[in-house]
Amino acid sequence: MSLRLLALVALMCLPAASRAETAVSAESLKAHFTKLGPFTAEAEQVKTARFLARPLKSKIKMRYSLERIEWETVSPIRSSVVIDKDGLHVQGNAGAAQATKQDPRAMALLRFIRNIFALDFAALEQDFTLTFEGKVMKAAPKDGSTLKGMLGAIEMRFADSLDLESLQITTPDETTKLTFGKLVSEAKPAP
Amino acid sequence: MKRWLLAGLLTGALFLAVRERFVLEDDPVRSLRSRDPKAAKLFDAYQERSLFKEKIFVDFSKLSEKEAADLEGVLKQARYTPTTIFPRPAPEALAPLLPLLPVEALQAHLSDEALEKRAQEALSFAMLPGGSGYLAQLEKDPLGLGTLLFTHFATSLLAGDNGAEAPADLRVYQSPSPLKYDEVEVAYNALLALGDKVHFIGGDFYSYENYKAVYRDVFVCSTLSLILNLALFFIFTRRWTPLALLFVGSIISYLAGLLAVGLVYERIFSLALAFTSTFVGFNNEYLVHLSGIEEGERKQHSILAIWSAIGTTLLGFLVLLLGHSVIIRQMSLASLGGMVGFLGFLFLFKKPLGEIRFRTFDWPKATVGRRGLALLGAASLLLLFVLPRPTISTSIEDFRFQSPALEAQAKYFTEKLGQLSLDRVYAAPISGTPHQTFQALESAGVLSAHGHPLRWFRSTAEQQKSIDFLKERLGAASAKMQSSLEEAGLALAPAAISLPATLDEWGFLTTLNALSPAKWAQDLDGERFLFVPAKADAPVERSPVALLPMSPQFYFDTLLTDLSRELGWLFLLGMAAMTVYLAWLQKSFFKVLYVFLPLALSAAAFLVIVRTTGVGLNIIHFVAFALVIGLATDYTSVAVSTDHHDVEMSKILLTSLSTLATFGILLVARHPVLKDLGVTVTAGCVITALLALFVKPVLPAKDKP
Repeated sequence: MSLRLLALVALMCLPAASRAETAVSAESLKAHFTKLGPFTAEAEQVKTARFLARPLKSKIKMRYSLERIEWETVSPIRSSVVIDKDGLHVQGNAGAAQATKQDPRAMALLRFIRNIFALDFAALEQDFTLTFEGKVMKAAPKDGSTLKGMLGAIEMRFADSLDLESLQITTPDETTKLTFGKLVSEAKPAP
Repeated sequence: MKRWLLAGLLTGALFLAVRERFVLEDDPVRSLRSRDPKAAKLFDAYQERSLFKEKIFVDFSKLSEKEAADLEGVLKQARYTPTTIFPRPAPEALAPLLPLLPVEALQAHLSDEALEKRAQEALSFAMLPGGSGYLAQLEKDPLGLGTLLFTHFATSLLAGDNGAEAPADLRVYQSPSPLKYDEVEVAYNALLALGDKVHFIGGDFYSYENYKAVYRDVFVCSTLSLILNLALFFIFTRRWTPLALLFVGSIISYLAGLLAVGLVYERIFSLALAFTSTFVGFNNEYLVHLSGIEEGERKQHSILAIWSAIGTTLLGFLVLLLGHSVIIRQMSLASLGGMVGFLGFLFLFKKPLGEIRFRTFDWPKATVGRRGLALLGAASLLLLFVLPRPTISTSIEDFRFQSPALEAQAKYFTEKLGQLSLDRVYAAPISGTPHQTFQALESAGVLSAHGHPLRWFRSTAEQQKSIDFLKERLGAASAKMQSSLEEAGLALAPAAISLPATLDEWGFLTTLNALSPAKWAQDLDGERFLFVPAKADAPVERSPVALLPMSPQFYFDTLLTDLSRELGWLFLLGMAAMTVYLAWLQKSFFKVLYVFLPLALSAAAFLVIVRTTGVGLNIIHFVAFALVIGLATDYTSVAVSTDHHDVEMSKILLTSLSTLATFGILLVARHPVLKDLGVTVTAGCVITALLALFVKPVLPAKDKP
């Protein structure tokens, strides 16, 4: 069953006193995330990459649901992409999704992005070896995974309340760090 | 004890020699090559790139998000890895095809507005975690011309007949290597469980269904056959030695047969290997007839019976050596090796064999004189003459266990994938230009031209227009793209784009050969051929040029049918040789007539069955008939050689029951090859055994043994 980022980030708003000083585990995260529904999150992204003359700091607004992720860059420039089961659509460019669909590595990367925000352990464990250290969950691509070579390491840091504090993704060409701020969730639709 | 030790050593030595020489060719049809060297070379060239080899195709279009994710997980667990229908060529490899894009398409693609959009798209990717992978691609294809070409050609190639749309979410997976059936089973069951929501196809699933059917058949039939043979031999001889001899001797004959093939050929084909499994049928006859030979007056009759039985079988095998097909020659060598191996083994056990005694049974027999035999022979021949000739046709499908689920999937994909199914593809010799040949075939109504790349070919003048536009626009477009990216903070090092030259039709097709999943043209020793897909039910015979089939099914079906005919002619030749041999040995026309009478009756009965059921004769029926000739003629030749003596009749009863226990059991098989083999051998052997056991020829003294 897919897990949701929503509850984690929502829990960040709870008083600090209510947070337990316990290490995260797959079980504790699953228990939280199964209750969650669609959410909207704001984050600050810092990206260093070979293609970037200097580290790029951007503000991101993300709308997540089981079917799609809308990834909107608010600044320094405005852009919007949608990731769904057909691939990646750049706003105002209908051709892009078909192009990515023909490329299994591209589709694997997009599925990864969806799985990581859904914290879908079942899907993640197909491609990654997951380890937990304190409040940090690390994921390393398994040998034979389509993502091996595209992604190096993933690190997710959680608050005591199991809220997602930050996500760092390292690839051969870039390092991206997302630090989450405001998050608004909707109630999970009845099954 | 010494004998068994020697037999053990012999088995071990044979095993080691076979292991040294034995290489199995598991593709049942690879040995089949067209007698026309040109057709054979073209077929090999066309099949160099097989779209379906070691891949499965799954249409995810109707699956929900959750179902798709679950299915991906199952496929991954079964070690299927995602891959592409079209391995996407590098942009520089596609560049020579740029002149094939209309100038209007290039104008639209390289307009300022489009370039802005592309820069925006690049930036959108850059904003995503892991997006740099796309920017690396952008460096190689900064203006997206490679993507434009790929999309243009891929969309056209994927379209089915009559413009049918390709599945919207068709995914391709690489099969695990080595293939493990328990993993295929996991994937297959998950796909079947999704019902109509998912469509899938792949050789793995056919292999799995065949494996399942054969596994079940081998287990059920071998167990039943073993139990029945144990019971029969014990009832007839009251000792286990004959069965032990049959068991060990069959292992030796099997190994000797393989060694005989291995000494001549580097590889043994699986069809010839499968044929060796029938050795046990021949071996039980050798064993029984060489056992319990009593000294005295009857010995001469027994020896005559043995020479008649073994001699005719030997001739049957020898004649197969004249076959053109490697498979037939391998079957002959294996049989000869197997026969030598088994008889050599029995020679070691000469003494114990002589001590075996058979229970005798008495039953009433009808008698028939020379006139009766002549009438029966004439009636059989008349029947064979008047009964309609069956069609001779063998298809690859005859070797495949057909599952309704897979048949439905194959139908779906044949409609959807159109040209990529590689079905009904022909090689046409190019007369004039490729396009002229293409047009001539299209006019004759032969061609399914929808997805053929020559549809997109453009004249040199039109290509030149596109090149002129590129010459004028490329520099400015590259600069514009570069500045847009830099403005957005992206520092890329775009690859330089070189201007392509115009392509002629042949250059276009051979360039595509290297890039697309199928070949389109082939030069064969200076003669040029065009690969074209034919329409379903196309009047191929009305083609203005001679077409050579390239689709595997059609190609191999033709070769297998030719092979069936060849076997048929070789059997007739074999029977002629047997007739001469028996006439020399038995020195009586009527005895020879008696020996062959059941074969004629079996053939007539088979023609009636074929006529009634409407099935055609395929290669499996011919192989089965070889067994009938080898096994069944022994019943009548032994019976007539020994004047229907009680002991020999008992032996015939035992061998015929044992044959039924081995081949008759195959009637319960699910696999069509085993079932067809079982039906044909059983029908032939029952008729012959009934005649040998219940009809005794009464011949004048000069015709007596």
